[in-house]
Amino acid sequence: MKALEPSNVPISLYIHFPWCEKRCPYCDFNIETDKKDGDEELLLLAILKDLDDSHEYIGNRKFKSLYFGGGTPSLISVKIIEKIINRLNEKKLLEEGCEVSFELNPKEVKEDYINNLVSIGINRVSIGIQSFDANTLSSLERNHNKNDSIKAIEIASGVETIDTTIDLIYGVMGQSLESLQKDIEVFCSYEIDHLSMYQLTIEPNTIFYKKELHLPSDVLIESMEDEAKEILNTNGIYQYEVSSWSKDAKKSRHNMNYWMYGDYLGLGPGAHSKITTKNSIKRMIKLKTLNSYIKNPAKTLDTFIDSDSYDLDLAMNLLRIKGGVSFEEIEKSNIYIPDSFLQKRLKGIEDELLEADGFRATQIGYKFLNDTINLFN
Amino acid sequence: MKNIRNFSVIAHIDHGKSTLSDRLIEYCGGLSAREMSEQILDSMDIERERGITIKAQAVTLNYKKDGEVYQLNFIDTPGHVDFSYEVSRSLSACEGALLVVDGSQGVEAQTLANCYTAVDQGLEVVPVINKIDLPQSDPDRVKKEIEDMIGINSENAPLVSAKTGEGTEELLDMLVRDIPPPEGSPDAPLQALIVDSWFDPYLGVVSLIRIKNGTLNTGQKFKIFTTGQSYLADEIGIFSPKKKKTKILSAGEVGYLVAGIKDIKGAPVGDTVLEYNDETTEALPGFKKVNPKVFASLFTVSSEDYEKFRDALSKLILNDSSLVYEPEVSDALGFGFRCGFLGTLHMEVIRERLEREYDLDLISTAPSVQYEILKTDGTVLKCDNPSQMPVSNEIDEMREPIVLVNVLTPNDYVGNVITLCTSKRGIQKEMNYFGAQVSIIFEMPLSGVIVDFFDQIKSSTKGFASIEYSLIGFRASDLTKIDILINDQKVDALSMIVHKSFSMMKAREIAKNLQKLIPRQMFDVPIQVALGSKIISRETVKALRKNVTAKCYGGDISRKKKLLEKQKKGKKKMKQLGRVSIPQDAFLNYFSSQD
Repeated sequence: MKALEPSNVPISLYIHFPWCEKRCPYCDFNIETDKKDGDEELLLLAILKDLDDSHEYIGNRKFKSLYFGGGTPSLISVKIIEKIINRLNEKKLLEEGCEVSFELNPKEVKEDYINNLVSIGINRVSIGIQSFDANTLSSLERNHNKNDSIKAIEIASGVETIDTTIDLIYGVMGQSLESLQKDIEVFCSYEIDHLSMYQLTIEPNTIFYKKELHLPSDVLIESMEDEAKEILNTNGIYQYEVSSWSKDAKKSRHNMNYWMYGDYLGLGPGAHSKITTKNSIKRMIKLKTLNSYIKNPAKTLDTFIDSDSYDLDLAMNLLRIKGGVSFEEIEKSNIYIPDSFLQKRLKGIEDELLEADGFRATQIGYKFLNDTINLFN
Repeated sequence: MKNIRNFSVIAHIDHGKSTLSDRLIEYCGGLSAREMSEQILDSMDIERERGITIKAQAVTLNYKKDGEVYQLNFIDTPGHVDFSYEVSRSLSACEGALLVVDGSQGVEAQTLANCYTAVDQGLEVVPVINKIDLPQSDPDRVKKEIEDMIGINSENAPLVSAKTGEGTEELLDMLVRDIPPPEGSPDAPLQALIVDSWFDPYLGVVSLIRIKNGTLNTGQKFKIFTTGQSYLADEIGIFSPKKKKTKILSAGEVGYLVAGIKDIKGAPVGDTVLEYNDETTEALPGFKKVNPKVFASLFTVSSEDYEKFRDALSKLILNDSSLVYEPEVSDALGFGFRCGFLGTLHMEVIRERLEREYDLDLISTAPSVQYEILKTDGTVLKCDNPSQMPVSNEIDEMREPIVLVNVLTPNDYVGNVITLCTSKRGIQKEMNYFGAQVSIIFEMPLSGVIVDFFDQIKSSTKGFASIEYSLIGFRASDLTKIDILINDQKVDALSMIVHKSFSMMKAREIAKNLQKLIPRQMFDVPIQVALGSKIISRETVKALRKNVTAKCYGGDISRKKKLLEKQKKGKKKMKQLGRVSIPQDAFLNYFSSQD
């Protein structure tokens, strides 16, 4: 593969906290439900050590965004988060104006808590609402209700220095078009600039996978998507990625970095990294269980993206961006485009799955994104 | 020579032939108990899985009795009607045959047919009642059936249980006493029959031979009668059942011969082995050339595999002289081969072997019989491929192959059998009662017999009936071709010839089936069935609305990659017809349309 120049590639940081109170039936993330006293301190030490040992991946770059995800990061005391941010600041690893996101469950959004987060440098919160509808929440076995969610939104959106995003889910058993409509109308009634809206997918190794579920038909799901788009667009919220919607200037910088094929470092159990090296792209996964990670934070399972797998690796990220990427942006972001990639793009244009300008899926190509991406497989 | 006994076993599938064979091998010390853990003679995976014997195999055993050592050469025979040709080949190397009948079931049609062949070939038939350990076993009834239906005395038939080993010795004694030793002379000039030949990747062609006269030594020069080619016998030996080299094979014996022959055509089955310089000795009577009854086209899913496919077929035919094939080009499916098979089971076995042993993904078209077409210009055309049928205004008359089917069924199911056979355009010719069993003879189009008939007859008689059939000729019939269009494109490989009275029903079935089998695509896919230019049935595979796209979290794209990898693999197993991806199964819808 062509020699790549890592120092020109933007980089973000993701930090994983594995604990949840319980496992949600649709969740296949790397989580643990048995948090013990002292665990978070041990994890903190491991993360800090991991960060110190990651110099070779970071080089002289600074992180353009930082994301605390999980699991449920809000189960962690703010002090732990603070120590991590302090260490990053000491090492001067955060870019000026760095986007720092933090995930919470609605029940944990309290005024004091949010103020504490703000004081340590968090400037964006993501609240896992999923739905305002009691039936949908019960199908998903979530342990919060509509009131918890409304309160959380009111508190978070009341703090001027932070941006708020919420998660909504559709295609849930028993969910009607009207119920999703209502969810979105509630969202639109608040001054929130960002929404993560995704279809329920049943993944292997989840509780739902073993059950017989009556999911809505694909016709209903399509009308849900159409209806959601209608309402959101009317309210000035536009889709910019498969499951991301926002007001124009409020795209998540952290997520955009994934889709724009930026580098990212992941710290914490099972965290994923993508690092550009001189002659290939290296994808790494940390050890999955808490204990194995704490014992050996630097250890990773590596996959190297070579010229055979590069086209797919790149396309499955770039093509998620709704508006596509222009060739100027590709060049500006130091994204390497091999000839084989351009050949496959031409086939996509011929099949009317890709637009002839820049790199972007057509309307039909975006509906059938898997097929479009498979052009590069 | 007086102590040699050459024999075959005639038995219906499941009547315990393989188990009985194992018992004989064990009793004569051919293999240790540990080596007996699997059934020996069915050596191909597919044979074992399907419980059928495809290729004839031979085993030489020594049986000691009253101070004499008998050499028993046991030549295995396939039990399925598709492979009846192999049976007659095996029988021609023998002086006798054990007729094994399940004591709880009775005589079956296929057994009957093979038994007649044995009697025709002058063999001594020794009846044996097996499975006497089963509580429902009724040896007296079965003995009477054998006498009534086959006309051989079965009063003293040994009662055995191959499972427990009971009666094995009695059986061996009877075998040695009743089956005559071979005739011929070791001092006469060499004359040996090639019973079977197969290709071994290390040895080249290996032939199973029966020495009728003279002797064959290692290193001896010999010739093949029809080709006139001479070879040196590099290696000769017997199967005991393990391959065992010997120095000499003598008149009356059965063994294998390896002579560095590279091509199976160099040692044709049924040919005669003679001294290399012998110009006077005559050839032994060979075998009737077998004609394939069922035809289908095979194509590779991926056109890149064509060369590999051609290579695989040329290797496969080394072991299966009953398979015939020639190249074919389809507008829809590209390059492939039109193949002729002994029956649909033979076809399935070949397809499975190609896919498994040669790692190919194949598409098989619906099986067809060979028709005779009288054209308006007075010529007669043989046509086994619907896509090569002349246009209707060039056809004066269509004729289809007719078979005589003998169904043997317990009394209770006579009504069901008649209903089923009539629905296949069968005409009842005869009905004979043998105790509790009834033999019903029908004249039926072969096309009604080749697909699913066995399964249907089994399911309509709780598994009790059995069938046997033979070709009796061609008869004019009201036949027509139906074409299938997928996404407005005619798929020549899906065309089929059907009786006019069935065309509407068939068309509806095919369209419905294809609708179920073709996955939804990004656009509506119309499926049409046409009779000439007229569409007689239509279904639509509704367009897929969209892909399911999941949230991608924390930079973890590994799950998505796995999914895409799986989709890619799935797609590789589908045939691209224009913009439409069609799975392999869709091409076999002729089979599934019967449900």
